[in-house]
Amino acid sequence: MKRLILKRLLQLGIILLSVSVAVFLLVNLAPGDPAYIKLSAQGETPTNERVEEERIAMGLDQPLHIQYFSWLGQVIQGDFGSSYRTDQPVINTLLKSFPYTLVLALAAFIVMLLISVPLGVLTAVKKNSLADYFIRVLSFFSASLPEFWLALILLYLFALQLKWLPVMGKGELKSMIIPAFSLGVVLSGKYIRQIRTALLEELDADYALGARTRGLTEKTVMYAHIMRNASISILTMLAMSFGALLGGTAVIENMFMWPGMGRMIVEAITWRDIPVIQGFALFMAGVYCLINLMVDLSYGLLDPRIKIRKESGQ
Amino acid sequence: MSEKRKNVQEIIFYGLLAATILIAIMVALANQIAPHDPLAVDYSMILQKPSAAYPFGTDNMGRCVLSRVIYGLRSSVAMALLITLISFTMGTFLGMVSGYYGRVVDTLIMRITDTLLAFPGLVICIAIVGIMGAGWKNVVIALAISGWVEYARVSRGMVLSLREKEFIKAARSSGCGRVRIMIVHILPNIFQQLLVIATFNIGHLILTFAGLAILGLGEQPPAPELGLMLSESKQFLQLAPWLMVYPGLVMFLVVMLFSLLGDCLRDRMNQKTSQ
Amino acid sequence: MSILEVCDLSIGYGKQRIVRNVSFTLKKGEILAIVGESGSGKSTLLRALIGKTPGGGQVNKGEIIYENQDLTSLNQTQLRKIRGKSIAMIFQSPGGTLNPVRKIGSQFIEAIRTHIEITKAEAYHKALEILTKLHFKNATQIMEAYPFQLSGGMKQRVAIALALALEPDILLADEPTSALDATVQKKVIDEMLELRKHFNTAIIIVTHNICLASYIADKVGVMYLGQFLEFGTAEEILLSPQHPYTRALLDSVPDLSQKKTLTGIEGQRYGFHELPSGCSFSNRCKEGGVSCKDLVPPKTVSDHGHVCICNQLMNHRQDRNAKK
Repeated sequence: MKRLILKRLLQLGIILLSVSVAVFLLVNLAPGDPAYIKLSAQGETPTNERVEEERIAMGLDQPLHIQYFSWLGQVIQGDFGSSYRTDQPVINTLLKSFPYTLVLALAAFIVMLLISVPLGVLTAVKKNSLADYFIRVLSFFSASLPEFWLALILLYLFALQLKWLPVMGKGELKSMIIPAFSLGVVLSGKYIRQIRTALLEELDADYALGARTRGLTEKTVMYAHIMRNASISILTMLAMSFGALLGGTAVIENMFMWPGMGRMIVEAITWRDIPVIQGFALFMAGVYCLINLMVDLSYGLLDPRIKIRKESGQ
Repeated sequence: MSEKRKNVQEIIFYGLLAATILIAIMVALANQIAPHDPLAVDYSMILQKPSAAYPFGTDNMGRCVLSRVIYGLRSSVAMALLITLISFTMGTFLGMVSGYYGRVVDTLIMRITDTLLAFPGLVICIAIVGIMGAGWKNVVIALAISGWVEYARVSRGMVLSLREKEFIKAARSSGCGRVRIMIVHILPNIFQQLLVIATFNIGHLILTFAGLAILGLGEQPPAPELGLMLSESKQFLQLAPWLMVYPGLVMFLVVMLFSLLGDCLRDRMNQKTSQ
Repeated sequence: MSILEVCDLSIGYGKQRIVRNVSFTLKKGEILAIVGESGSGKSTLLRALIGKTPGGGQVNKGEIIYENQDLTSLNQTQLRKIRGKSIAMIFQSPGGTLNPVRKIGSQFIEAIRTHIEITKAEAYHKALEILTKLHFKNATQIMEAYPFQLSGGMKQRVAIALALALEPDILLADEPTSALDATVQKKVIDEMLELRKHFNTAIIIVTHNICLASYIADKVGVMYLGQFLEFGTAEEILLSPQHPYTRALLDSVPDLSQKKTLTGIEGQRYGFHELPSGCSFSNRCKEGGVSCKDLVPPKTVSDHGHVCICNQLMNHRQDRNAKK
């Protein structure tokens, strides 16, 4: 297990390193001179001399690789530079808005779990029944729904017509219901089908038949055997979706003025605040990779076949 | 599978194909079909309910919602097709090269895909468009950059397994050049599966394109764009819910159409290979 | 005294009948082998005995009498009480009946507690007892192990032990050794023979290997396209086979003690959907006549219960007698 962790950490390191190169090179895509952009973001009307001064101050006159390494050195220490606009450290901006995105993603994730797990199991257990057919059609619909459209429909129904929920909020729980629900419902469409497939694959496995020939009830076979086998891959699949969800809330956040990462980044983009954009990309990639790493490792803990083999160093 | 069920599947498949062609014709002939100019402002006709003259109603500047939806769909579909074409070509090419030549080329290309896959969801697109500036051209570039990865991975995997097949070995030993083997022998074998992926992706791209527009990174107002229309409709949700209903509904139906089509294509392909 | 009696059993999928008019009786402690090529319906027959016909198959006709009740008339709840407790089953894939992500001990305990109301600790001891009886040297370790930690032969032995946990009257074994190495095969088979001695368990073993069948079994049923073409004691089947198909099967087995030419069985067998009105083996039979295809072969039962279904049986007997 230790060796596995080390190996994965090394892989993660390599990926994050190439991510950092990509993010660093992003700046070179920017039309215009970063020094010029910075000065105008701070409200100056940049003259040629000021731009030249700023270029030197920012180290833009250095060769590219030197710029990269000094930038990387800072990033490793948690210093993502400072915002062009506010001069605040980027990391503070990121850490301020990240919890909001995290909470929203978590809520959406829970909605998704609450919908897709029971329905996915139901469709598998009652394979080819009317309920199965009905839920599958519904899941197909919800998987094709644009979540921002669903959000507007829910907003119209529950906030404007029924007045059960606030139209807009500033980060309190009630105003999160519609965004979380929209994200969760759309995502659940996909996972109902995947859970069903995962369970169906196990339904006719030899061990399930074996359990039945031992006289176990169909319920025990389903829950103590089939679910237990399928749950490992299903859990992994669902947990991986959480990481992706973190990067998928931006549109909803902006529609609902939710003060998360997606809102923050759009604001940064309007000011062409390059360090913030860079920090955002790097930060999200780091979080995403870390989540996937943890899921990967816990997969090993859940599945005795992997866990024991790893422990005995096979 | 019974004959009857097979026939039903055939009917569904051709039905979907017909619907796709219908949409293609509709967006191609947008100029003729749209009842009004999508940009024509008419302040005497603000926020009109759907009627005979304006089947989907009018927006806050008196523009015809139906016409805007048709033009919006046109730009969405065109964009999705363009991006798919670029990522498909680029991804398939790089994937095949990676799988066939192996070694350094393979490592390099796979490292790049790893890097791109390390970003969740829209993050990479937001960052690229954010730095390069908003507008549909940059959106196309950003989506193509993140889109080719899937084609590359799949085609690489298939090339790796095909490479060891007898007919490829036979072609090689009979003196076929590498490029010729790839184009004549390998590509036709992997094309179908890539086409299924492309079909699924079109729906996804339409949604992403709309999403970026809502973020203010894609098409800019007053362009008729489905995402933008939805975003603008929010202010008038109470007064004019039709502004929200129609663009969303059309997007939903088109996305569903492509994912159904992808499902059908995949089933047909699986049937063919299992026969 | 017979413990299981199958009368005229037919099983079908839709219009196709996969098992046709099968009858046999099984005594306590007796071993019956059902021999046939793959796809002859032997596994379907075996599974039907515990009411688990695979994917949509149904008993159309006949009875399965166990302890004075007809199993075909029982519902799933009633069948469940018999499954595992009175009639147990093992499969081809070694230990395939074992759940790969659960410890063997917990699967023993679960199986035992399904049928008897005892505590977990008691069930654990009972399981250990069984494993020790079956000569497992490190029983406690096995209880703590996951299936993947055991070798193929070991897994199959554990699966057999698990099937026997409740000392059932009948063990159904579906190709139990086909997936094992030859050396391990012998060990598993010998153990099954010993089992019968210990527990007096009756065993029905399904196999495509007629040598194995004759080695282990008291009685042999030769199955072809869902029918028992011949049924009798292992001795009779091996030494004086009456049906051309049985003879053909025996001729296709290499025998090291004598030099003989191996003959396979030529031709393609009928599909279940195109069975002729007469003998289903007629298209591959070397000894049959032109009329076999249309003539329904009679079922001949000898005085001591040897069954053969063949049109030419009388002719063959006469031929052979004439030669003598």
